[in-house]
Amino acid sequence: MIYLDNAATTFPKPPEVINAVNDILTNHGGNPGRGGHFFSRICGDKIFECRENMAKLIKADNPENIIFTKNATEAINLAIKGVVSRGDEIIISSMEHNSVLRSAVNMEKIGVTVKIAKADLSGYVSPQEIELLITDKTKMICVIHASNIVGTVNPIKEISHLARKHNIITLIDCAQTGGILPINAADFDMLAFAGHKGLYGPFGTGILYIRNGLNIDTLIEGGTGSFSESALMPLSSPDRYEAGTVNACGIAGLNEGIKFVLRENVYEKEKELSKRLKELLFNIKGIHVLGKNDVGVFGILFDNKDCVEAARILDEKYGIASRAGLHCAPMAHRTLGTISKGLLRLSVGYFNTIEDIERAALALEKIILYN
Amino acid sequence: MIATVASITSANRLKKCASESGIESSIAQTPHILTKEGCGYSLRFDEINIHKIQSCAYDLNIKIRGFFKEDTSGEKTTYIKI
Repeated sequence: MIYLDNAATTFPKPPEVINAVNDILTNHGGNPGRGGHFFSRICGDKIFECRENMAKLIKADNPENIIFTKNATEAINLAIKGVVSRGDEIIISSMEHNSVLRSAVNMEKIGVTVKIAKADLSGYVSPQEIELLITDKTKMICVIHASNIVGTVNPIKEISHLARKHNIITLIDCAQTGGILPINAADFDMLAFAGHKGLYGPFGTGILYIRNGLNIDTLIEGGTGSFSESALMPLSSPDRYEAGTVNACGIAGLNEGIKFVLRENVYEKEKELSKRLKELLFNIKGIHVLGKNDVGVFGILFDNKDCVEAARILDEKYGIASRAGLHCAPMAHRTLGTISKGLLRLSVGYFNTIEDIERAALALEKIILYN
Repeated sequence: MIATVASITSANRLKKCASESGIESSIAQTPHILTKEGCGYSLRFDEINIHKIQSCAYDLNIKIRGFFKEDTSGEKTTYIKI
């Protein structure tokens, strides 16, 4: 099998990720931050190490600003619901995933106004387009770093600077870029990451970075192993946002995934693979590759083929894993003009080879010609 | 001696700083008698290093809730606030 669905989750994982998960479950399975015994302490050390490594990856100066969540979606929900309240306006881009769209729109029922900054046909969201929507009620701007459909990277630093000029909080959805593109936390208020994608961790892991001094509301409440006599959540991060037992084995695995991306140059590898894939795809008649593909995500539009059918044939006949449909981002498809047909997505990862890419391109060519 | 802090993450940060300064320390649950708000974590270290631990806390912007000397000479451990 050739795995080209790395934008959904990276696969395979580095062996050390699997070993770390196994090690916690086998040897150190005490509840971290809930006791003083050996098993709890060792497990707690792994959690802390992961916070430190993530902080190092995004150049955050304080590991206490790294909040563990179960995925990027939960991180995004925590950020949005923790910041906006009745009467506020939130600006999101038209390229957002449903993780942002649905959590923002859900806030309309409590009196929040959602405004959409339209991206261009490549999926690029300009700061100027966002600035047009800013009012004195704008509380938050949320933009996807790189499109999960076409890989177009947005000017997040400029957008954040614009927001700061207007005293607006920014949230950047880094689900497709964490571990791949360099990100400097100092430029942003909040950053959401998927642990199981470019950070090469296991499922069930996500991260929200919240800058120093920004205290937001909680998404869930419960035990934290600290300040237990109080009926209120502690004010200090990360405990404030991490009610309940954390996914210790997942985070131990994520720690190894982050160490892997700190060690390897994932972006350079993906760039090489993407370059080859782009060359090959652009020469195939009957398909169109949309967007800028700045990261290794390729949205492919067929002239005369159902994208889901193409994905099925790729899987069944050629042993190639891809993803077809709307990719949980209907608004982005409306922006790109592909809502009625959807797209086939090929997304590369560190463990792909040039041979994988060439076989996938050849398979696509054959599907268009013969199937 | 122990230094009580708000969270296990703060305790871990202090421990790391202590280790980088050549100080041996360990993380322990804060004795119940010392916690007004319930559960918490502390760093246990040799009293001689208190200034270095204070310096770490200052550098890392970690609030030490209290420094306590442990007296184990009696039937039960008593804690003296420094």
